[in-house]
Amino acid sequence: MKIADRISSILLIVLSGLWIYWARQLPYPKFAQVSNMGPGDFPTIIAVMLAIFAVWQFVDTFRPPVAKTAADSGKEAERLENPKAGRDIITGFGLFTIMLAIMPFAGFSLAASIFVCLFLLLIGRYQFYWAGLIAVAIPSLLWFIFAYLLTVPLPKGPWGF
Amino acid sequence: MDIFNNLMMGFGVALEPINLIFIGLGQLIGVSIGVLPGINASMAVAVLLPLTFGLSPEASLLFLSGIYMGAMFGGSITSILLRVPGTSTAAVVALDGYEMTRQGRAGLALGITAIGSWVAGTFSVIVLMSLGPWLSTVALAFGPPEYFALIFLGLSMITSLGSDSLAKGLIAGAFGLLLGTIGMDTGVGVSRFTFGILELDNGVNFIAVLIGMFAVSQSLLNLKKSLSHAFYKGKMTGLLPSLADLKESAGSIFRGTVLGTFIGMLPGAGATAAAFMSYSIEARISKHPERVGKGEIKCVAGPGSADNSAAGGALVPLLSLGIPGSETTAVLLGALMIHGIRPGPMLFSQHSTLVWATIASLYIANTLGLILATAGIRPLTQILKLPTPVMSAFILVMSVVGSYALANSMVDVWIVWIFGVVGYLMKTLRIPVAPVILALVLGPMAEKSFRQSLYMSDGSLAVFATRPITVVMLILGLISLFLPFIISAIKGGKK
Repeated sequence: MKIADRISSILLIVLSGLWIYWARQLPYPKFAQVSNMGPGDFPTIIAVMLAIFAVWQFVDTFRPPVAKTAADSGKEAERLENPKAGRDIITGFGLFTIMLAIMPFAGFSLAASIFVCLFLLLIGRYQFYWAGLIAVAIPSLLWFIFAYLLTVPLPKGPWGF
Repeated sequence: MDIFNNLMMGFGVALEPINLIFIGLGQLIGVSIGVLPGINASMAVAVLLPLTFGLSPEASLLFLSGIYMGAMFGGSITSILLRVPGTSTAAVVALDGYEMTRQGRAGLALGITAIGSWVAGTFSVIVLMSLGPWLSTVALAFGPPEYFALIFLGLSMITSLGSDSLAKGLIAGAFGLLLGTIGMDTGVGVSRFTFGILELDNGVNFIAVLIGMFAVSQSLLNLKKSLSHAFYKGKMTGLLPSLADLKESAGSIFRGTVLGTFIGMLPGAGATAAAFMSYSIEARISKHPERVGKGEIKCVAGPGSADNSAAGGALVPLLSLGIPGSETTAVLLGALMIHGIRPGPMLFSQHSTLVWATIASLYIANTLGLILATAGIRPLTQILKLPTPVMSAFILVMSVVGSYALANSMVDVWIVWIFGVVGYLMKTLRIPVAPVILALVLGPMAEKSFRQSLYMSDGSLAVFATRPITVVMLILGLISLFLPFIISAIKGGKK
């Protein structure tokens, strides 16, 4: 956790630096001088604050960890860890990304059906017929609610749905 | 008398058949969602928000408020029966609630939580309708410096109270403020940090950020856990507590209710903190300390009431000041804004029908919740049989549809994706995500008030030091920001 905290602190400091740089590039119209505040000033103040807090977190990682309290134990649910968690999360996120990438071309229904089907096959380890059935059911239900009842124009593929 | 008349008007609207259906539906969805571990009220309200686009503002708010209140009780059911908290607020109820289940007193634990939740919810609504109009009248006298100081106070409490590590809480708050600077600068009309993406001119849609940070990241995190639950198979008898049980728990319910309502009103502290504080008080003052952690009914009744009253308390700053104190009330703020309603001190006078209908609906929702909680516990626990992968897949697809529906644009969908990653990383690094959302909502308001204040004073910061209310709120904000240091310094001094 300490190394992760250090890396995140450094990334936040870099982000703050970039934000300050971009903020300083913004124009400063004459009428903004009345308040002494241009469009880049507030973002600069916030970015400086973020950098300070990130440095603080970085320094904190060199301090000894605080012992867990009794209350903390109550927050932790009694659930078993999934032994394939890392693989499942990466697969799940990858499939989610692919669904978003193909949705503008393939349309909502097809992209979502492919996503649900692969998600259940690869992560849920479902039988193909169950995965296929649920993959049709979920997008159809959402299509009915949003596109039909609420008239939200969901992305359509070349086949019109 | 005004309050009574307004409340009657509110009941008139809330009891219209269509609105009543939405309150009931919201309660049913809320309790069902509360039962499911890993899905909290804010996530549910955010994902289901697009469903309300076609509804009237009243029906929309009644539906979402129903989900909000329902989820609070739903979380306790699985906490007590399975020691699997449906929501973080119900985690502490699991400590003694599950022990009661093991002793064959599951029905009593659920029954007392349902009654406590009803009492607490009703009390918090009474406080809301008494304090809300008064607070909004006071806030009408506020100028930009007071508003800035109020937002500063809220933000400082959110960041300092909402996290185990102050540095991480502050990072989350500052990150949210930074995101709030994206978009068209309303003062001078310059696009900031949009990188040519026109959709970002209106700023980053915080509902999309919220869906990403809560729904997407949590759906992925849920995959870390075991895919099955152990179901409670014992008999569920005695849901209605005896007179002796009620007498024993009355004090705890009262303490939890009052504590929860006032903690709920503080931005950032929230229902989880209220429940944990209530547990700690009950454990400390118990006449039978040997029973604490082993099925003490008071340690179930107190926190079970505190989390519900905190939910009602959180609506006070939202409806009277336009300042959300929790992530769920931030989504409710978004729901109001989608319908063209700007929450703030004028809400009580300009949209009194909506506000009083919401207040009336909370009474109705509470009573419906009590009925649902006592009559429907068995079927509700069956919801847990829904497999995690199916739920995760459904939530992820729903997140896409929900975010697309915000502006019929894929940009919001990609914002969900980005903040799904950011939320996952933040949760893994134990950086709280709620301050990001609240700071994103409050940031533009803070900047606007800050700049307006400087316009008033020709650029002099003295404007913040010469107005008494501003000074008091800024000092309170600084105290709350440095409270953890002050407490540790006092503790260090004692040692």
